[in-house]
Amino acid sequence: MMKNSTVFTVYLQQWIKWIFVATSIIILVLLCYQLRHGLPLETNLQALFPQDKNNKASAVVNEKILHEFGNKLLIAVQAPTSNEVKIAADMLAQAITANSLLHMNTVSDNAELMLQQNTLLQQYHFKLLTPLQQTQLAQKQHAEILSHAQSALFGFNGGGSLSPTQDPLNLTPAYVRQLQPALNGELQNDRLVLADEKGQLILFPLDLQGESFNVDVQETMNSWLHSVREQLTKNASTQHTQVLVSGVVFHAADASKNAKNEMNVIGVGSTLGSVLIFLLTFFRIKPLLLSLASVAYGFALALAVNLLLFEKIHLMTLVFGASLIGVAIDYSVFYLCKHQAAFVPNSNQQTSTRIIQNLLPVLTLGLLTSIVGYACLLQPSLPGLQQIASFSVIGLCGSWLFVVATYPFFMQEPLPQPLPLINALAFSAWRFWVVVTPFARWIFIGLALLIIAGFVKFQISSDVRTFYKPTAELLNSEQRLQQILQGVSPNQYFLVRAPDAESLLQAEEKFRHDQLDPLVAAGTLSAYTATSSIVPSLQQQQFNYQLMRTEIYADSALASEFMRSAGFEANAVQQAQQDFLAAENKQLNIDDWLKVARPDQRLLWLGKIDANYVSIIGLRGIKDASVLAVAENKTSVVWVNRIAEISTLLQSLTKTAAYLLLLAYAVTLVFLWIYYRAWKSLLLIMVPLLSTLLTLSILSLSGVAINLFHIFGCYLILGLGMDYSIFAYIEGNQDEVSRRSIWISAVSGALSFGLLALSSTPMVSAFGATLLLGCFFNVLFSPLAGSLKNAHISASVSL
Amino acid sequence: MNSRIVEPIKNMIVFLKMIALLLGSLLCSVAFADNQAKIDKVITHLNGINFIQGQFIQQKKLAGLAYPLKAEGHFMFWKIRGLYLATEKPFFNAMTITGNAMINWQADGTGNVAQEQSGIIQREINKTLLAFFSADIALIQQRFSTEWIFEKENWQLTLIPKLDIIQKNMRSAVIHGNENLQGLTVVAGNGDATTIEFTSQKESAAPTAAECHWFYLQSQEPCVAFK
Repeated sequence: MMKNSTVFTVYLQQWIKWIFVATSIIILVLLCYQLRHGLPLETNLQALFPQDKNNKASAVVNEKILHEFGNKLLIAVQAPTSNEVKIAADMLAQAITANSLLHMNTVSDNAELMLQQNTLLQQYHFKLLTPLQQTQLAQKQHAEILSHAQSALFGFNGGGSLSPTQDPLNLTPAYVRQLQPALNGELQNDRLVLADEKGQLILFPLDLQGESFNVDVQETMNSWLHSVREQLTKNASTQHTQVLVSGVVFHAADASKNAKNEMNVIGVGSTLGSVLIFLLTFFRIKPLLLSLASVAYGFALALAVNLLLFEKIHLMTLVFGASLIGVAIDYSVFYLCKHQAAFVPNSNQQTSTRIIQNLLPVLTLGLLTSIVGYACLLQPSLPGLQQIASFSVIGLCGSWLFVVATYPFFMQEPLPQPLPLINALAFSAWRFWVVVTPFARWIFIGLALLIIAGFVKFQISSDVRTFYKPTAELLNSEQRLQQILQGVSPNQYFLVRAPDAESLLQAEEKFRHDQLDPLVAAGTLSAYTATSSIVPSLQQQQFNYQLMRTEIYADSALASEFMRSAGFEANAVQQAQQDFLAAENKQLNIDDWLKVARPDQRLLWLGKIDANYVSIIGLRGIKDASVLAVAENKTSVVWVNRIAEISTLLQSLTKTAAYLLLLAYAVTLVFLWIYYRAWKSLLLIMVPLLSTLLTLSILSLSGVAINLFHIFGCYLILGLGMDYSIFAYIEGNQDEVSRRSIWISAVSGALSFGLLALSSTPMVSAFGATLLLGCFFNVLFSPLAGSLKNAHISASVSL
Repeated sequence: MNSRIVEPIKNMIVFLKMIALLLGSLLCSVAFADNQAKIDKVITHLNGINFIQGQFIQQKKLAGLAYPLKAEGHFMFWKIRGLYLATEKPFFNAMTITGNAMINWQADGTGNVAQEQSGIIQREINKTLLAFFSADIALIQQRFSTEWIFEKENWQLTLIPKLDIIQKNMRSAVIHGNENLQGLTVVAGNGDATTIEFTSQKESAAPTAAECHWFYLQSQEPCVAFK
C-alpha cells in the first residue's frame, strides 16, 4: 500500500509541475488582458447583496447621486456673531481662491437657471396651482385669494412674477416658491447667510476639480482644511469660528487618512513581526520571500479566474478573499520546517523531492479541508459571499500549487537550525497541557461554562457603521449642514413606479395627497420634494384649468371682480380671459422641465428602468422613519430606507454566513470520515471548533455584538485550525517540526491578521480581533489533536 | 515743419493739459466733498427718525397697460420694528414688513404671516425697503450701486442691485426726498413700476399703543407701555 501511494505521489508530482507551468501562463495572459485598462473594481456595497427590483432602482439612484454630487462640496463657516462670521467668510473665500482644486459657485451662478425655470412655469401658469390654491378655489375661500392678490398688486413682491394683467390673482409666485426650500437666510455679497439659535452661517458651494477618490486630492484637501482651521483659530477675530464641511472627498480623505495611519502602525508592526519570526527560525530571507510568493501566486490566480467569472472584483472580495488565502502560509511554513529538519546534520539526508512527496498528502488534506469549508460560502443567492468564496478557494489552490511545484526546485540548500527560543516557545502549548493534565477536567468545565455564558450574551450586529464610521467632527458637521439647509435625505425616500410617465405622475400625486400631506401636517416630516409638485400630471393640469375656469376666469368670477375693483378697464379683464382660453391646449411636460431642472431636481425623475417609469420622492426633516415605512403600498410606491435595508441585508448575510459555517464544519467532518475512516479522526474538528466557540464567547462577554466580519474570521479559524490539527495529528505530539510549524504559522497569522484588531474601521477590527483570539486558541488546542495519533493513522499516511 | 517751432508748441499743449487736469481734479474733489456732506446730512436726518407716519398715493404702471392703477392709504414707519402700509382705496389691504416677517392684516384687525416671506428674494426686497426708510446706508451700499443727485434741498438716490439674482427681480429703485423721504419708485424684473409718494408726514418719538398694535402679530405686551 505504501509503495503504491509513493508511486502515485511521484506520478502526481510530475503532473503538478506541468499544471503549474500551464497555470502560470494562463494567469499571465489573463491578467495582462483583464488589467489592460486597470483593475475593474466594484465598491458598491449593494453589489454584495441579492438584487431585486427595488435594489436596481435604488442602485440607479445611488449611482446618480454619486455622479451628480460626487465632486460637489459644501464648506461653511459658523460663528456666534455676524461680524465674526463675515471676517471668517472672507478668510475662507481667500483660501478657496488660492486652492486650485476648488471652484466656488456663487448664488448668482444659479440665477440664469432660476430665471429659465420661472419662465417655463410662467408659460403654463394657467395649468398650475399649489395644493393650497386648489383647496382655496375648490372650497370657494375667495377672501383669502383676493386678499393675497390685493397685497401683491400694491405691495412690493419679488417682481420676477408675471404682471397682474397676465396673472391677476398672482398665483404663480407661490407655485415657483415650491422649487426652493424655505431657508431662513439672506444674500450678502453673493453669499448665502443663514441664521439660527446656534449662530450665523455663511455657505460656500464648491466644485472639486479632481477625483474625490484620488489619494493626492484627498491629502491636499486634508492639509488645506487643517490650515484653514488653524488660520481661523489663530486670528483673534475668528477664534470662535467653526468650519463645517460636507462632501464625498472629506469622507474619503478621512478614511484614507485613518487607513494610512493604520498602515503605518499595523502594517509595519505585523511585517516586522513576521520577518523577525521567519529570520529567527530560518536565518534566511528566501523562506520569507517564498512564503509571500506563494500567497501572491494564489492571489493572482484567484484574481484572474474571478475576473473571468464576474467581470468585476468587489473591494470586499479583495480584502477578505485575500485574507482567507492567508491560510496558505501554513503550507509554506510546514514545508520549510520539514526541509529545515530534513537537512539536520546526522539525520537522514532527504532530497527536496523526497520531502514534497512525503508532505503532499498532508498539504493536500489541509487544502481540501479548507476548500470544503470555504466552498460552503458558494451560495448562488448571495453574490457577495459567492465571490469571496470562489476567490479564496481558487487562491488557496494556487498557493498550494506554488508550494508543491516550486519549493523542491527553489529549496535545494540546507537551512540553519532555529534559535532554541523558537523551539521553546513552540513547545509552550504542549507544555501547558502537560502541566494542566491533572486539572484537565476542570479546565474543560471552565471552558464549557465560558462558552455557555458567552452564548447567553450572544448578539448579532447589523450596524451599517461596521463598514465605515466617520469621525464625530465630520458627522456633526454633515448633520448640522443637513439640518440648516433642510437637505433631502439621500438614504430615505419613496420610490414610485408606473408603466408610463403620466401614470407615474398620477401615482405620485395620489400618494402625496393620501399619505404625505397628512404626514407633513402631523409633523412626521417637515416637507417633501417630488417631480409632480412642479410638473403635475396632465390629468391634474386639466383639473387645475377647469377649476380656474369656473372660479377665476368665468364672467363675474374672481379675476374680473378683482381687476375691476383694482381699476383695470374692461378690455384688460377681457384680455386676461382670452389669454386663459387660448392656453387650454398648452401643457407642461416632463421633458421641458428636465431641460431646466437643477441636478437635485433631475435626480427625482429616474425615467424608464426596465419596463417601468420610476421616480423618487425626496424627504426633508424626517422625524419618524417607522411611520413613513407604513405609508408604502408595496406595489406602485415603495419605501426605501437604505440604512435599514443594508442593516437588514447585513443581518441576513451574517446569519447565512453563520449557518454556512456550521455547514462547513459538518462537511469537514464528512470529509475527515471519508479520508480516515476512523471515528477518532472526527475529533480533529475540535481544535477549530473550540477555538471558534471560545473566540465568539469572549467577544460576546466583552460586550461585542457579532457581525459578518467576525464570522469571516471564524472561517479562517476553521482553515488554520484544521491545518494545525492535521499536522499535529499526523506527526504526533512528539514531533518538534510540526510543533514549530504550527507555532510559526499561528504567530505570523496573529501578527498579520490579529493586529488588524487595532484598526479604527470596525469591520477590519472585528476581523482582526477574531483572528487574534482564534490563532491563540488554535495553537492552544493543537496538542489535543496530536494526542489522538495512533498506529493506524500513522500507517495510512507515512512520511 | 521746423522742429524749433513745433517743440515749444508741443510743450505748451502738455502744460495746458496738465493745468486742465489739475483744475478738473480740484473741482471734482470739491464737488465730491460737497456731495458727501449733503449725503451725510440726509442720512443723519433720516437715521434720527424713530417713528413717522403719513399718507401715501401709489401708482402702479404695468407693462402693456396704458393707464396706471392707483391706490392710496396711510403708512407708519417705526425704526425698531418696521413698516406698516395700509391701502384704503380702491380696497382695504394692510401689511407690516418687519426685519424677519411680513404680516398681512385683515379688515377686522386679525393678521397672519404671509407665505411670501419664506422666499429669500422676497426677504431681500423687504429688507431693502426697510433700509430705504431708515437710511441704512451700509446695507444699501452692500446690495446696490448708488447714485446721488442733489438739487437745492431735494435729493434723489438711484439704486441698481449688485447681485444678478436680485436684479432679475428688481431692476432698479429710485428714492427721493428733501427733509424726509418723499417718494419711492421700484421697477420690477418684469418691467412693472410702482411709485409711492408720501404726504402729510408727521414725526414722533414713538407710536401710540393703538399704532404699536400693527407691528406685533401675537403678543401685545410691548405696546402696553405706549400711551
